[in-house]
Amino acid sequence: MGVFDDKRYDQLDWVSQAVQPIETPLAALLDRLPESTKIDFELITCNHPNGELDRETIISSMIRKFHPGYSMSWKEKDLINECFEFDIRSPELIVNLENRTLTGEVYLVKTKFSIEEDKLKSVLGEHGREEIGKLHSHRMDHTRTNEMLDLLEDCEVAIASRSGKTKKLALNDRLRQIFTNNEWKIKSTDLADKIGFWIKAYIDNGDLAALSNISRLKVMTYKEAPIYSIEETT
Amino acid sequence: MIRSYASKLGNSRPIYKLSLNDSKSRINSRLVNKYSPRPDLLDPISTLVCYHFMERLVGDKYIKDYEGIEKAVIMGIKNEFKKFIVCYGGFKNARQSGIHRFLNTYATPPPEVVDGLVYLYRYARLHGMSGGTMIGAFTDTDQKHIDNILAILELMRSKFEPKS
Repeated sequence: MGVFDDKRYDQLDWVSQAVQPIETPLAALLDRLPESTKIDFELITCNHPNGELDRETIISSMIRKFHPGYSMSWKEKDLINECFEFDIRSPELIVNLENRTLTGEVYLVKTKFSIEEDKLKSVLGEHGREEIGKLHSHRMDHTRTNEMLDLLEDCEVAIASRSGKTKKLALNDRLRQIFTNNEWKIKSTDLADKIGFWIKAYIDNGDLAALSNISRLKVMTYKEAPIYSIEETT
Repeated sequence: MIRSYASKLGNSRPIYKLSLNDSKSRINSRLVNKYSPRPDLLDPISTLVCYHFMERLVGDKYIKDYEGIEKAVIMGIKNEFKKFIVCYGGFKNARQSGIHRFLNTYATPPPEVVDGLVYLYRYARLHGMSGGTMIGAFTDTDQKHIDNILAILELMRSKFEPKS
């Protein structure tokens, strides 16, 4: 095994190697979330005492419970949220704050058990791009930023610019373009997200491990094969 | 005074009917029996207090928002008087007059001014002043009331207007 080999791809069975599905931890996360959750009085009044409640509130607390410390982009959260619906199973649903009761039954039920490939494509690298959005454009290291822009290619205008904001926007736009057009053939949302984190780590702190990782990934893209994982330097 | 009117009114009970939005992503809530106070039609202040009735949910019960009601009622009364001055003040430029400016001085007037305005409003309404645009609110026979209102407003201004 060389340092530029994709171990995860090699482990896939021949069907998966042919189909090349996008791998994402969101699928496992969705699996772990309960199929049906009964909403009781305490739960329905957790957001607002009058019983107004959105599914995001419940799903976020379930994710915190089942996957503590797991962070997602807004688009990824939306994907998970779209898999759930409220279901009222009684003719009427009444909240009475005087005697603290909920009359009727309401559940949060899972309506989708998998996330479609097209939707996963739209969230590739989103979390990483959100990280790049957090870069301080007025005090970023321009030399390191230019190196990253050079690595991403097609960013000559931003490289020539003296504006940190222009460079930051170019990084973000170029990454979105790479994922939308599937230029690097990345097939893992986890790996795609890491690109943004590596870029930010290198620009912010000159993190050489991050530079090594993104350079290795870039070399792997020349093979024009799907990429599921790389041998990371930590 | 406004508070004493408001304190006689009741409150809503915190019972809500819940329903889903179209995408079934959110539970919406609607108060089942929202309290709507019935004004004493013969008392203009009661009508105004009922019109501006406000309550808020604190813990598990509704309480009246006295401050909000008082502010809204006084704002309503001040606006009525400002329109009155424009229509009946006889000023060349009513909006630049001392009384009009005095009415604009306080966001929350002192209690004496509040009571004065409330009593004067009641007097005006009971003697011909109608709410709304004020045009045609008073007939010719009401001129003495118009003079009285203007005189009292002028007195209030001279007494309570902050000295700069």
